[in-house]
Amino acid sequence: MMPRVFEALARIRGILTKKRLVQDFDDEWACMIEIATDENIRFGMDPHTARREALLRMGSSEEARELHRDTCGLPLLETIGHDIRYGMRQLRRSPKFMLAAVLILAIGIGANAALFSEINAVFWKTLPVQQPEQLRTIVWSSPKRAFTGHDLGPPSYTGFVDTPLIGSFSFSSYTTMRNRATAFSGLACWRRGEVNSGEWGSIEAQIVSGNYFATVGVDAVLGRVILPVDEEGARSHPVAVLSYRFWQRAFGGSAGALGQRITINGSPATVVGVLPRGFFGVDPTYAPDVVLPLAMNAIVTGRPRAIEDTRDWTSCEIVGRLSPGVSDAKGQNELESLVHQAILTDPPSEPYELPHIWLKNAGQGLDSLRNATRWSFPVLILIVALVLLIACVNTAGLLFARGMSRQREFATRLALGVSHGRLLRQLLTETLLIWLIGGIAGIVLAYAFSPFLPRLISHFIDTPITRPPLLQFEIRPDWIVLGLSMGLTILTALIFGLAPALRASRVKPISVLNKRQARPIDDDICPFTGKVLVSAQIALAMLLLIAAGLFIHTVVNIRSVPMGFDPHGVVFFRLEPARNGYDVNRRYKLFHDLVDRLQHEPGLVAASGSRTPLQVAGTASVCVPGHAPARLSDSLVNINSVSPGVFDTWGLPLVSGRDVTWMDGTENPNVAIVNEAFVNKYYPGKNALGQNFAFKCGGQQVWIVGVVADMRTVVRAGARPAVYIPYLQSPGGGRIVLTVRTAIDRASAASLVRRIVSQLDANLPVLDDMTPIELRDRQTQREHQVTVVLVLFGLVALILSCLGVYGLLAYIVTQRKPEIAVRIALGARRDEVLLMIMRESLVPAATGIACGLISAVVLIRSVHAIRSYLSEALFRVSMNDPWTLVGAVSLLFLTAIVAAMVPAWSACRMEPMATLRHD
Amino acid sequence: MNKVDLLSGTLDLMVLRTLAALGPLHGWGVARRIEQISGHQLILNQGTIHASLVRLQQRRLIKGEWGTSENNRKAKFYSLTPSGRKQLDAEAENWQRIASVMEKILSVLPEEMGG
Repeated sequence: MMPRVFEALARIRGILTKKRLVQDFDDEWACMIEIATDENIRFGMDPHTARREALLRMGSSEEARELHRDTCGLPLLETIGHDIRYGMRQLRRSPKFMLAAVLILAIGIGANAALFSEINAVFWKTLPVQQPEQLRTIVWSSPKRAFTGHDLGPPSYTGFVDTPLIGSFSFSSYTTMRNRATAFSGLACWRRGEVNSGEWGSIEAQIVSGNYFATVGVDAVLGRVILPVDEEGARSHPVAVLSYRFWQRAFGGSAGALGQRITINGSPATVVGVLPRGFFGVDPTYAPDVVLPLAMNAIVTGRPRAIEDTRDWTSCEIVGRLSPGVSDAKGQNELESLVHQAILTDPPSEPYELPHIWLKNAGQGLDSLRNATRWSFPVLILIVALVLLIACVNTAGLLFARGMSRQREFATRLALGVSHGRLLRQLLTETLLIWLIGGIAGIVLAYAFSPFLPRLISHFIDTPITRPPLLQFEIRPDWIVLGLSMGLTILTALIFGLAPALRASRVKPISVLNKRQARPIDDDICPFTGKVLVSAQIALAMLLLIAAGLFIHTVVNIRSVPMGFDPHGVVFFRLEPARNGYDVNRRYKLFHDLVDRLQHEPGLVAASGSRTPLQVAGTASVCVPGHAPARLSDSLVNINSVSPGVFDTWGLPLVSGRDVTWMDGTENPNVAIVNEAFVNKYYPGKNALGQNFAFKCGGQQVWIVGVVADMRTVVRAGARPAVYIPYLQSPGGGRIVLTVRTAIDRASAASLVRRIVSQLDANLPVLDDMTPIELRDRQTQREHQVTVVLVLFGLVALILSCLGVYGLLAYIVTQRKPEIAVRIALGARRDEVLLMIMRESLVPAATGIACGLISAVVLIRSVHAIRSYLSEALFRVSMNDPWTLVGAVSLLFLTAIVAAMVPAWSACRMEPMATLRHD
Repeated sequence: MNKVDLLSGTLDLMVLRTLAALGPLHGWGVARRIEQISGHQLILNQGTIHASLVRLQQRRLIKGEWGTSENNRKAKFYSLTPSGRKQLDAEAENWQRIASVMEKILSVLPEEMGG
């Protein structure tokens, strides 16, 4: 045993002291030659013969030295090192090839690494908190939810069941749960809010209960978080904790921020702490700038008694920390009975059903983001996989061509005694080197772009009214992503690098070296392989281009859907007066004044207001006499509150009846204007004018006084029933959306509106300005973004296949130079030569196009997932859309022709005599 | 003359035995003595002998020291170490056992095999 250990140690030492060991060997060898010569002289030879005989007898000193080297060190390790050094030298010698291959691979692998890190961040990463696996988000579902009042946002969670899951609770049901639940070590309440904050404009505020940070398990990096002491009503002074990002933005990351004042809807609040970087709460689609205590709820929402209202089920979203060892089922049962108790202390008069409670794992915290990106990610994964495949095939093509052009070098090395295996290993090492450099470049590229990735993701989420959310989670280098990307690199290197290396190492030295020019022995095989690779690339590019075409057509169709009104020249401006303490009467007056003033401005054709732009957001359930809804969704209609003249401003025709007037106030009967879809659904074939309905069965009656045309605001949904009620008769919501139709340009219209608003109230910011077209585009952001990505990578694929065709043809032309020269010398017409060369590349191009076309059709037909995805994603576009197919075919074919023209042209312009003499 | 193919590992044993029997030798000497003893049935490549000497040194079974030959030539002389001697005894015994087993098997008559 010991001797072997000594040997291993000596060999390792030998690697380092190799030079001296070889020197020793040379000395010893020389001495032994002397001894052998002496011996021969003693046998009677003359000195000259004696020496020659001795040398012969000793054998090849080169071979012996090589053996000595191998015995002294670790030959395998050293040859790998040698291969790498030799490989690097070879690559440095052809920088163009290296640059091309590395760039191509970097694009392919980089796109994948970027997507891996996004998927990793969205699907696998847990919240940056302590023991995230214990966190649960509490949600509920109920088919009849009369206990909540009306104004409940859209259901925010999906999964488990078909009934929508709702994530918000009343404050009283929250406190019942918090005070009595034993299965949870903490239950915290939080809600979202947007506030006006002086010079920072509109910022995102999160209101949290005092136990929120203890429950979630996060501490401040500077100062303190919101604590239970901040909850104690009147005694607490208003405090704010800043997000890391807002701290950087507002205070430049200075510790002096502590104790500073910021304004929240006009009220002051003292900064007491800063949250850790990358912490966003429990919902990553929502990134608060400031976190405020529940005691400031009234300031944020503008509704002083919102918390006491048992019918306000928008008060709390609840996150809980399950006690260790407690099952989800137990927690769920406990909370369910507690919520039922809370509802039964003040039951509603209308029929209702007690809600079911569900616990959702909040540790990953990304459910909302996962839902939001579920639509886009599958197609992104396919796109990057295709791009990587194209990049690999392209690089394989480059390697084949390079292998062929290096045949003379390989033949020489084989003739000098290098084995085929050794040559293969050398080539594989070079291939692996290229791939690794490309892979590393790709990963570096991906991480260089990683700060932009969350923003990129946010563009794949539809945002009907406001700006896309600023996602705050961070994408950092991560072993999973790094490992996956490197694994992918090595895997693709082996798959796509082995064949070219095998092919190149199978050189027959004699036949190659005998030729005066470095050309392959079997001319047919190499171009054949090259042609197959070019076809494969073009087929893959074809798939991408077809996908891009389908989505371009979808976007074109989305844009050409008539909106039902004239969107040109319409601009919306958002005001949030309730935040600045306006009650409903003051809001109404402001609204009236604004509309009055704007109508008299030159350049503004019409000006009016509503609560939301068009009819995009806000639903209510209606109770129409004689109409029994089968499901809850049957009674849901879009609702918006409007001022007089808004339909004129939008350009939406009034079909019958009248517009609302300034007279339609709280003292007068409740009136409404409905759209034609409403009439068709609830009063089919009847005159709806003069009919009435109610928002709650048995509640106040609302009389229909007018009918307007339908508008298509949700492109895919078609026209939904909609109700427009006079602004003063709709209690909820403090928002005003001023709608202006302008003949002047948008920027001057915006400054005009801002000036007039500031004349009425200098402290009231005008938040967004937006056009109906932008509104529609924001709703269809996913489609737009997927299209952008597809077009971008489609272009990359096009350029790569262009390179592939060019490379193949340029190689063929070099190989066939003498033949072409002979043909020309023998009188072949140059256009014939041009055609002959072009044919070499156009046949594989056409094959590739055909293969791509067939596989696209087969994929769409036979893979259920693709078919169902496309049928959901495309809009009024058939999956076999002829425009797309014809477009993709002709684009690729044209590209192939252009790429082939250059080498073919140079071939037919060749001077035959010069070429032949040179050869 | 037929070249005898060496079983792997046997060359090391030959070198050890030669050094044990003849005392310190240089590389050339080791090769010639083995050839002589084999009755010139073995023709050894000097490089192969040299590699064997390096290997045995690495395993600390022999040691090499520069010295002067009888003709006043500089040369590296190899000699057994204590652990080399132990190794030789163990290997030699092992080899003899194998050889005797081989001899028995090779001398078995066909009918005995069949029985």
